[in-house]
Amino acid sequence: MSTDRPVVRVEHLVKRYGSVEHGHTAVNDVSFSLGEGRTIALVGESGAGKSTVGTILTGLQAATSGRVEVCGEDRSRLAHSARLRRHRGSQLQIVAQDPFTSLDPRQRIGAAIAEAVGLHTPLRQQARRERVLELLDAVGLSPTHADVTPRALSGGQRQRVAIARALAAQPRVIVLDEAVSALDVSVQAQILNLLNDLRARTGVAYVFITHDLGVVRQIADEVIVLRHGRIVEQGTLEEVLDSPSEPYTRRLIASTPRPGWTPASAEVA
Amino acid sequence: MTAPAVDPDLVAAAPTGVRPARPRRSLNLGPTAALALGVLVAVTLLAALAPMVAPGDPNSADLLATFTGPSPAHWLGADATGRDIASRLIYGARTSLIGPAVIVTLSLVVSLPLAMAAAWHGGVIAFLINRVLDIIFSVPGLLLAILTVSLFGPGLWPAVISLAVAYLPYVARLTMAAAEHERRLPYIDALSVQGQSVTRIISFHLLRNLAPVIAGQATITFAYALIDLASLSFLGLAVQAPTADWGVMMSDRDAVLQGHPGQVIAAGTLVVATVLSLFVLGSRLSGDRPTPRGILRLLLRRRAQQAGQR
Amino acid sequence: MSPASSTRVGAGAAGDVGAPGAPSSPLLQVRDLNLDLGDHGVPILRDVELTLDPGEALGVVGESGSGKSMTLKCIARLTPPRAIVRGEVLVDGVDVNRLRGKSLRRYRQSQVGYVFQDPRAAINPMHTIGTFLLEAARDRGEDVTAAREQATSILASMGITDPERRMRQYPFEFSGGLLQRVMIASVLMAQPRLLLADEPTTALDVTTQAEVLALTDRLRRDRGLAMIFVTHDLDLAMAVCRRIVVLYAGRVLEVADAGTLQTAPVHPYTRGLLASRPPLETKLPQIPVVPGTPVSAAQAGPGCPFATRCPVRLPQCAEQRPPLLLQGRSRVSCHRAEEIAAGALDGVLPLTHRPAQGGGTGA
Repeated sequence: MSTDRPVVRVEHLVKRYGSVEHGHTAVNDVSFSLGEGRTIALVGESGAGKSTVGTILTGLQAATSGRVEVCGEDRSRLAHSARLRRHRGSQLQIVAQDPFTSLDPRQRIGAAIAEAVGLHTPLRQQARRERVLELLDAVGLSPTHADVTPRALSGGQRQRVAIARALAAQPRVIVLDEAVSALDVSVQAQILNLLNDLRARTGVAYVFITHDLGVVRQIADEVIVLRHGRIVEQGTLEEVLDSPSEPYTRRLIASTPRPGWTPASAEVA
Repeated sequence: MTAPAVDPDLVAAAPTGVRPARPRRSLNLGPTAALALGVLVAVTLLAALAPMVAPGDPNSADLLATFTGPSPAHWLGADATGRDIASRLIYGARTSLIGPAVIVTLSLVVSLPLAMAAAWHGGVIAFLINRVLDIIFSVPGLLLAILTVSLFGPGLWPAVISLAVAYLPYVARLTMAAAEHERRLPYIDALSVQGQSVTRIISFHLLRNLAPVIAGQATITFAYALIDLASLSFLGLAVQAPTADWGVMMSDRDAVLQGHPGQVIAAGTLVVATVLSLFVLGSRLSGDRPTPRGILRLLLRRRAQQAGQR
Repeated sequence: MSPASSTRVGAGAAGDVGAPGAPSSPLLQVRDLNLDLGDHGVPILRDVELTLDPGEALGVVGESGSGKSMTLKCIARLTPPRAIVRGEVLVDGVDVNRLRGKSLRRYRQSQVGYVFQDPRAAINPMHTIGTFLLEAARDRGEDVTAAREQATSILASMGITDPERRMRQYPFEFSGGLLQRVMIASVLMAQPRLLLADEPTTALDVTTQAEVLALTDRLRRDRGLAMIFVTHDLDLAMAVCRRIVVLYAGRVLEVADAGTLQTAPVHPYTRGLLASRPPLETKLPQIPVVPGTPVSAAQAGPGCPFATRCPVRLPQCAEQRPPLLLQGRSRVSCHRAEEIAAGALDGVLPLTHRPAQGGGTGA
């Protein structure tokens, strides 16, 4: 489905917690690949395993079996050296769901972004500061925001900071783990527009983890529907949302509120 | 229908709720905690500047002044051997505060790395650390002190070291719980994904965010150590008689029996005032609102712990 | 954009226009409700008014800081300590704020039922589901056997199979959706007249949400229960409620029937809210947004609280607060309500970006 050289390739990924008999399989035989500048949405309900796929991609968790490649490099095992982690960070970054806990509460915004810039670029202080302002501007924040702590920011603004910090590494892929789910509707739209805009400008690819199909429609090129750790359906946005072949996908779509929707209309499907 | 294209810059132009304020540096304590801080600063200053503020030598006996009441020569009177009570209280602050300070420092120095290691690695490492702490937990603090004293003879330092060991699990457990909670927050993950080194994440981010909790707990631990050391001195197991010390002064039974409770009351009042101030400040530092009920609970919790140990 | 000739809309018609054609007297009337919290009196709610007829479902919609949950808490008298409540909350003509001791308990026992957002946090994990369901009956000294039968039948009617066995189980053995059904069942046990639901399905998965809502809706209609449904999701509120109140910064900005709100919302905030929801059916090149972030009552100025974010604000908007007046079929608090209703500002405030065809059941 993807272009010549995928930035993310996941093959037969399995993540099991506990023993084989008594354990719990969070991710079971998941495979996909993601081309440069594309967005793949991992959709599903709680316990579907979508966030687990995300954390394995980031290298915060090891896979039980299967292969996880980011920019051609195997990630199924953990990185124990800071150098390897830094190297991985320059390829793939993460933006988490809760804007209120995803930033160090005592660190000023400018310092947080500068820290990330410093890790991934050899810039000296002055150039680093300029890069911070550039990044703030890219996510629609003003230079004055650099001097405040997260406490002074709203949820949407914090999420912009998290995105700026992720961009500091100039990654090829960003994992967005329910990154807009905790935001107010009016703010959510701003962030979605920003993400689409950034992707067009920088060519970054997204792994977009969400349960909201309306959001998926606005941002994804490809969709994977997960349930209990397994892939239910996989295809392009149009294939999955407009002509779903699986009953579960149809049920998900029918259950999503929209104008003219009633809870009873979900039962019909 | 055309959608109104909203410039993202317009969004930033009106950042509602942005206070261009710097992060709060002042503590904004509130009246009760400010008073407590005042008491503690005063006591510490007295201890530090004892040679300058004390009216006389704490150990020089003025046999003519035995059991005299307050007078220009002896502001708070003199004790059985005619030593100046005020001077003894002021010099006593030194011995009474240095012990708890060492206890808290020692237990923090040992427990912080343990707590961080357990919180960061979890699994087997956390399990092992916890079991070791359990073993120390099972030995009652005062009993350990009495045992040490019986081996090495009475004195401040054996008592201090044994109490530091006894306090270790309390301090470690509390720090560990706070660190484990903080470590699970997504910002720590984000820093790891960035490729930040573990040492920097722990020392620069984790510890800095835990600092208020640790400071609060350390303050409260200081109070408990003060009580325990005073009790040991009272029993004659820690600081020894001629040395000026609040615990030693409180244990002057003869003076009470002879109808001169002055120095016992004075020393006791200082201990109570210091301990209460520590409780108030400690709970304020860890983010609670110091209420009489909360302070009482701190006292009772200690009692319950001791009862549980027996 | 022509400068507005701001004529005051039907200033005389400011009376009670709530629900057209409601013969009976309202079950609940909230008048000029104001709420301040904390030692320094942080404003949370300002002049909130609601009416609710017996058996009616009312949606209260708002974003963070709008005070939607606090409105509900005021009605149930669950305000936190050091709260200052002014205004009236009349249930059957009795002011809830004046109830004390026994009469307050009786009100909470028999008149209102409260469904919390997170059932796992609201149900004691140490007791069985049966104990939880029968607690209220035991407390009232009622016949436990009868109550048990009632509980079983309610659970069964909520689509829970083998209710007797389920009653002996503990909360951890239940999924979130099942547990929320248990919570709703426990509320129905007391046969209240008013169901207060605070984001009852936000913690649930979409498919479960649809099931729970469909069930609640059916049971509510069968029993003639009135409901206030608090949510941040306008689409969801319109799906289950007849009338919707839109709250912003602790104030009511618009009240309208669900149908009216869907086809002809008036307030710029309501329009923005509807437009910025990412649509399921179509991919938009750019999602219309409301600039800025939601403010709370404490941050709002003297004028219209939405003025700072409003794309069609006038100079007077930041100074003068517009009254809540009838405009067409909605009650709206906006200086430009008349112009908007006439369609004069549709270029800036799109009605909706979605295809106008109703009922996209699809599939």
